[in-house]
Parts: sequence; C-alpha cells; structure tokens
Amino acid sequence: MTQEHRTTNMVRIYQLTLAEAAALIQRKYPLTEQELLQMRPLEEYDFLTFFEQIRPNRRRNFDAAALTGENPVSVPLPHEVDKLIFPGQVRTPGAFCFCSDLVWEIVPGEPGEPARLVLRCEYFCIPLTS
Amino acid sequence: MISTLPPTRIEIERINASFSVALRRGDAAGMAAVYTTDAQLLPPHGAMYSGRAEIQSFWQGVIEQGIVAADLETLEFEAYGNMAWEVGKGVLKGKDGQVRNEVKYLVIWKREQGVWRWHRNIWNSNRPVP
Repeated sequence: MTQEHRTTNMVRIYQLTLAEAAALIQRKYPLTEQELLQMRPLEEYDFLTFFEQIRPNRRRNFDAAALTGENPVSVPLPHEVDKLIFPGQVRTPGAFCFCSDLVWEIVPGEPGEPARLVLRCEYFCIPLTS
Repeated sequence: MISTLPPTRIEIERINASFSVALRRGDAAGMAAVYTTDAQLLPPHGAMYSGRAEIQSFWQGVIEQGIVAADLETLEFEAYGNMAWEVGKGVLKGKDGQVRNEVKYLVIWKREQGVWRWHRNIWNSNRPVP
C-alpha cells in the first residue's frame, strides 16, 4: 500500500500462493497489517478503471473459459479458512482499506509448469484526505 | 463472486461497507473519510456537525459510548450526474452484539473529482421517544 498521495478510491489486489496461505493457516493467525503493508500489491487501480475496464474484461474471460471448459477459475473454500489468511481491514497513513472480495483462483503456470492455486484479496481503499 | 451491479452502485456499497468496517475497528477517522470535506451531519436530538473534523469527533463520541457496529442496508438509490441520494436503514449494535438502536437514514451523495462521498447525512430512530 504505497501510493498514499492518491485522492481517489482504489482497488489493491494482493495474492498469496496456496503454500503461503497454508502456512498462515498453520500458524493460526492471518497476515498482520504490517506484514501486508510490506508486500507489494499484485495490481493497483483507481476504482472506476477497475470496475469499468479491468473487471468486465475478466468477466468475459471467465465466461469464455466456462464455455470452453478450459479453465476452472474459481474455487470457493469455507469462509472460516479465508479469515485466517488476509487481514479484514488495514489502516495505512493515507487510506483505510478493507478486503471486499476474496477468491481462490487457478491461474496458468509458467510455460511447462502446472497451473497454480492462488488466493486473491481485493482491498477497497478510501483515502483519509481529499 | 463477480458482481453485475453498475460501477456506481458497487462503489456506493463499498463506501458504505468501509464506514461499517471502520466503526468495527473503532476508527473515527476512517468513518469520517466517507464524507466530503464540507459535509454536514444532522443527527437526531443535537446540533449540526460541519466538516470532516467535526464529523470525526461526533463518531468518536459514538464509539466511546460503546457502539461497535452499524449494519447498513440501502433501500433506494438514485444518481443524477454528480449528485445522488440514498435511503436506507441501519442497526446499531453494542459490544455484546446487543441492538442499541434501529434507524432509517438519508444520505445525499456528491461526486467530487470523480469520487463519491457522503455530503449530507441525517437519520432518526425507529423507536418511540423514551
């Protein structure tokens, strides 16, 4: 959560691999706020860009994959498990963020490698100053 | 789950959720972040609060009274250009989960520099005068 000068609502996406998520479940408490803040978001968008451009494209890809049966892209797991992985909310010096969407996904691997299961959390961030 | 709601409605829901999450955290600054800088709060049985600093102090007082949760539900929402209005209902809860108040509210939203915020906020209790 680095760009604290922003004044627009943001979507910041964090991702963990299955192994990383499993390690957090084993230690019995989720990432701390500090640990999350030390990670780089996988992706970061202003809200409208995300919902007007990025997400509709993903939805089209999602629907296309479902039609062809090529990729099972969503793997819901019990919410009790999810709570043990990402912090529900994070306060940075410039924004208040909460985990608004959490989804397990199977993503393609590198060439020659199998697909990977990852957990992605979309944090909706509202700036504290404008 | 990928929502099919239009972006404005999704943003409104995210902002309302942000308010509720900030209250659960006891973060009055996070709650005040959903308001425009020149917002006005019109609570029942009290004076008007103008501007984020005053609004933050109001919500800090609510937190200190032991309110820890506000479950908000939008009943009506319409947007016209850079203004919108929302009618909803809310349940305020104390630390033990006890319902402390049930309210209906009106929020006039304003979009400033592309960002939706609460601009005017008034509510009152559903309960009879004690």
